[in-house]
Amino acid sequence: MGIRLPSDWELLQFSSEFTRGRCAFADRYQFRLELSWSIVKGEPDYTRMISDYTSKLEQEKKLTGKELIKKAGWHGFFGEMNGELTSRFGRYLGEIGCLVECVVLWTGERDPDLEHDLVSSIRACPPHEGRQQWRAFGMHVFPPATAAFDGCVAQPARTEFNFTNPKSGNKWNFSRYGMVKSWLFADVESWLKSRLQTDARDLRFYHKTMHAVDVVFAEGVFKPEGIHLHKGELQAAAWIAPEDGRLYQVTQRLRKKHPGEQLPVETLLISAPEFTPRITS
Amino acid sequence: MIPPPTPTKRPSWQEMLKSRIYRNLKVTSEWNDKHTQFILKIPTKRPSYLFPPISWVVKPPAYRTLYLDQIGADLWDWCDGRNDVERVIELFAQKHNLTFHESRVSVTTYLKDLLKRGALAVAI
Repeated sequence: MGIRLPSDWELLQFSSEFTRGRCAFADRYQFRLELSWSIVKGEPDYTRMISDYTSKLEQEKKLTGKELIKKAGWHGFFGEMNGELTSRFGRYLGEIGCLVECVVLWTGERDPDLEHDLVSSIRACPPHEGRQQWRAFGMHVFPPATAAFDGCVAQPARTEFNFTNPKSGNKWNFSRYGMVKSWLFADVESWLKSRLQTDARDLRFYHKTMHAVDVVFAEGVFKPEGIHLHKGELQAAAWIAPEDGRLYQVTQRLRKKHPGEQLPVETLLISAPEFTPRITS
Repeated sequence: MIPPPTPTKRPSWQEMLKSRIYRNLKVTSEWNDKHTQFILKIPTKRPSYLFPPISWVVKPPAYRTLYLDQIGADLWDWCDGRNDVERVIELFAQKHNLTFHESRVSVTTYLKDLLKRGALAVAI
């Protein structure tokens, strides 16, 4: 799923269940938008869904000044809930079989233009040419369509995405680190070596200049945990993007050959430094 | 009958960001010889049980020492009572090329620690 947001809204909360999920975005001072979704079997009756929901809220005296809205294929309402002006919309995205709810919180007055831009930008992003597309936390990630999202770490100046195909056991790890000058006192190759050495052997490193950036590549074999498991191939790449000074790293661990999963490691991750809005005085 | 305590309203994000951080005036600060650590000496309060003759034997340290790295030293510099928390976060974000919330989490975690140890005080 994709959405286009103002550049100073940051993702602060997320959940990572497979059949349902939620993420919340905030500007400097408060949460501004919440997006939640769940996989459902078919399109609901929106009119009934909205009227049931709003009448329940009105009965509980949680909603006042209700105004029903239909916008860019979304059904919803605007009103005051718990002292805050809010717009809520729902829509079924058939391509991915998800019922999506979008909640916008207003500071001061409602902005109908922003509201329209936000809801009309929400779209399904199904895999394209055998690849998924994930664009968040400053990374543009393209794991194979067969890989399942395994987990995410989101800390200040450290983000990590992990994907696994449970059938093949192949794994992909993407990470991005900030404040590099404060903690990286060696070169990128030494850092990548120390990171991979825990389970990899016969590592071979080489450098390539790509888009005027020195990228360190590593190839080797790795031994998965468990004595019955065979060795697999490992490929990794790491570089520091000059635009934002952050360290980007991608690792591909292939245990079994699986169609569509042996991808060139340099095509798996693109740094997206525009995700770090520059604060200037 | 004792009246129930009046619930205190939790300050909003904006109110917290607009609060100012002051240094404890009794804290002394200096760099070490190699200029790698910034040393804060925070005076300790004499415990109430320390009276003669116990105080003749037990000698508590007169101050507690905190060793800060360059990042901590920058924060100490910026927490001069003139900058509010939001400005400190912005300065940190500018220096380390972070987003506002990345910087907020890092700065507030560090400041909480310094507040807990009595090096700083906050005025909301």
